[in-house]
Amino acid sequence: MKYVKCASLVVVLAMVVTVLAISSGAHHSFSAQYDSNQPVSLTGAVTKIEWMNPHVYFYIDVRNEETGRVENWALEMGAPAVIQRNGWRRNTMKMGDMVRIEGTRARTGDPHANARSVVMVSTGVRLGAGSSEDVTP
Amino acid sequence: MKKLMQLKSFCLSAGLLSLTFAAALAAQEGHPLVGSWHGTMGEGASERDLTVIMDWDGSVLSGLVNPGFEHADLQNARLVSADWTVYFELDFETEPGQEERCVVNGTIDRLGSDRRTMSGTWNCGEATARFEIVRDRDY
Repeated sequence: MKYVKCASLVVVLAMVVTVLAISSGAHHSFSAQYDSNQPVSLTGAVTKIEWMNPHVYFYIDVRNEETGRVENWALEMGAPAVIQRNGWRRNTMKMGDMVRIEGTRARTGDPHANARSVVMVSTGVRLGAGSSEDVTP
Repeated sequence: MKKLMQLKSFCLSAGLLSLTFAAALAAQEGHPLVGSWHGTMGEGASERDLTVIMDWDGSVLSGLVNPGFEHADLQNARLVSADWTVYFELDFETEPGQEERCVVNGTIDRLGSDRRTMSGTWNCGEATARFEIVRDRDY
């Protein structure tokens, strides 16, 4: 009986560690991923929305005026609970909506940034994006 | 001692089985066209970027092409699962300010991958262009 309890505890602990490992892999320090010296301002159309923890991500097509090509940018926001406190709802942003964002570019130089604010172009409504820029180091 | 070994084996198997089910659940996908796709159409100087977003509500396949720019809604879209061919029509801006009725026929490749591809022909009036798009990865 003692062994059963011990084995059950080991299995439960292994599952907890696995879940925590997956969550922590998706969470990160702001400065490790984004460069505060690289502010970005982008306007584009929404192509994808991932409403999930620990960060909501959305993707926009932005036309590069120099090359004329379209770049698909990934924009990170805060956790769903955090951005809901900033006025977001699941249907606030839809595929094809034009948005203007202010944010901070990723250190990798990829088309990837942390969004600080999002303006819905059709209505002019400005929403905070739950950026962790001034919250986490 | 033997009982303890059996118990350990059982617990290990149960743990592995749970992880397998969790991985399988995470890998489940719905309709193979749903999502956003990026790629190009045309060749050389006439090559242009292409974004296609598709959705499935359980009965109707809908979506749009080039959101925000030469935005056009998919019409009469359908997927034939027998050979994984895709068909849709749209009123597409072929030149600035000039829309034409276009008919698109494509085939899905690498169906099992979340980075599956679709390629085929894009016919607008008498002009025909090849296109190839890749489904954006799920994170």
